[in-house]
Amino acid sequence: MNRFQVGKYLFRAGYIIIDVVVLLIVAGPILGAATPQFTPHNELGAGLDLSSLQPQVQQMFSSGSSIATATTVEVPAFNNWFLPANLGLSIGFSVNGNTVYQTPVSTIQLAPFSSGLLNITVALSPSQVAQIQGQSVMGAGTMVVREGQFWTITVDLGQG
Amino acid sequence: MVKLAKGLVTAAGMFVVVGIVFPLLLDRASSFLSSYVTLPPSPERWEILLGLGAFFALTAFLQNGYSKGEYPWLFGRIGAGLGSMALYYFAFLLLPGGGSTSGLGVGVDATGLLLLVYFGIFLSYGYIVLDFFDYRHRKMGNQQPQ
Repeated sequence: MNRFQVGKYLFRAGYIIIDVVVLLIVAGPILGAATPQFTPHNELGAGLDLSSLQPQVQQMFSSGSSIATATTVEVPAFNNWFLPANLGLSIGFSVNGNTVYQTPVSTIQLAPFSSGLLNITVALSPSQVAQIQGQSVMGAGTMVVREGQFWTITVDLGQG
Repeated sequence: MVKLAKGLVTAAGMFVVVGIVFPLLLDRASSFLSSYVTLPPSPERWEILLGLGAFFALTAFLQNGYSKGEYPWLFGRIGAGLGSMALYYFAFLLLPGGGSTSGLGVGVDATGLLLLVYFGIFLSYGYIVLDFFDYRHRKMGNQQPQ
């Protein structure tokens, strides 16, 4: 085997490895966003199970006086993928299109193939409670999925 | 003569696909594409893709009009790689910018990922160049009298 052959096979092995790594990086958040829609468990990828968010927020508002006290909302976070992931979420409330309250972004760092609970503390001031009470409140949020230094996806969840 | 014809046919094919079919598809798709993606104006899309189509046509001609081991073939291969990078760069420009926090949207910051992709492309170029010289080296070896 001459030196050109040795070099070319090393380069070929290198770019095949890089291609696989790129594929792994890109697929994690994509699968994380897709699998909760199609499977009963979060079987693949990295993400947050946002389906648990709405009942907790609804319960907070339906219990009336409890919105005046700080409440912790728990969102299941999962990382069923080969790379560590950092997941973040911020939730907010708006009345007539104006944002009344927005939590800071709470984050959780998950090792490969691990899961956890992302805790978000909602603490409304008395003036914010006064603005919200008796009004039609819309929820909003921002989700952040980060895989190391490779890529960060920020999703505005809109209002609903 | 066969090589020249093959080069011309593949060059025309590449020009039609990249320079005409791609912008036509984008024109058709622009009305129902996700609101996350903001496309550049149609004349600008045509200008960019026609230019890329012409470039891909040239590289396709060099790759098919010449044989492996000839320098124009190598320039064609490397040029095609550069053209692909330009096409990917254009496609990445269509992605929404990172850090979107207002309205319904998605932000993507893929700087680290792009660096990794570029490193992969550099390695694949290295392979093409070394393969080219390996081929010439072996061809010259075979031509030497036994």
